[in-house]
Amino acid sequence: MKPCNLSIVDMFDYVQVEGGKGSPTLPLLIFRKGMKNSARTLAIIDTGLDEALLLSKEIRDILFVESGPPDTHESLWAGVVEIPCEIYAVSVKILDKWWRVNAYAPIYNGYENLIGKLLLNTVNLCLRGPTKKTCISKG
Amino acid sequence: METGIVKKIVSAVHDSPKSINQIAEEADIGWRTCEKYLESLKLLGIVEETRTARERIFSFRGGGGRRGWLFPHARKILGNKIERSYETPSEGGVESLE
Repeated sequence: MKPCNLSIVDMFDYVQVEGGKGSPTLPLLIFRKGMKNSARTLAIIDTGLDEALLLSKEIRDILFVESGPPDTHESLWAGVVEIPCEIYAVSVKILDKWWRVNAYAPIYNGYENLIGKLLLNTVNLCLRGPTKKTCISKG
Repeated sequence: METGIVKKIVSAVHDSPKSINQIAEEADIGWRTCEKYLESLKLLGIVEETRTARERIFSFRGGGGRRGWLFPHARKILGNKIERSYETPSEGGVESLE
């Protein structure tokens, strides 16, 4: 067995999602040019999402009202299902660093904030399912 | 097909195979509508069907390789609140990922 040399710098509890299952999440700050304040919220870690960020309708509405209409539109695909999205160029703070990314906001309701691979690849994550902890380690 | 219904059905069968009755109940739609959607999703290769002597069981087969993700997350975080923060990025303090 190989030893783990991860040095943990932060740790977050899994949170309950609809259906009663614990899911790994990370806290985020989201900011778009034109806004006076950033928005702090949780997002589910989703390694199946290729993009950086998917936005809930609630966050999308804040961006729209406070910083104007989307920058462009593009669809995401879940298998063969097309999800038309608005795209907002935003700054996202994950842990202690801000990143400029395109955030996808589905035009349909019901989606949760999701952190996808593009952002997840900027951090060292250790998912400890049995203890329901998401650990962040030093790079 | 309506995306909202597809999401509910795919979510219902994602974790474990289920009968049409169970899927219809979980997705909160009628049996006939559920069967119609499942037939379409089966043709598209998203779900697969197994027949037993008593019922038809559907299970998730996964998505394709197109840009996007394996299936749209239909579950919301319970109690997820949006708080406002005075913290904003400084000029030049943002790195691009695009």
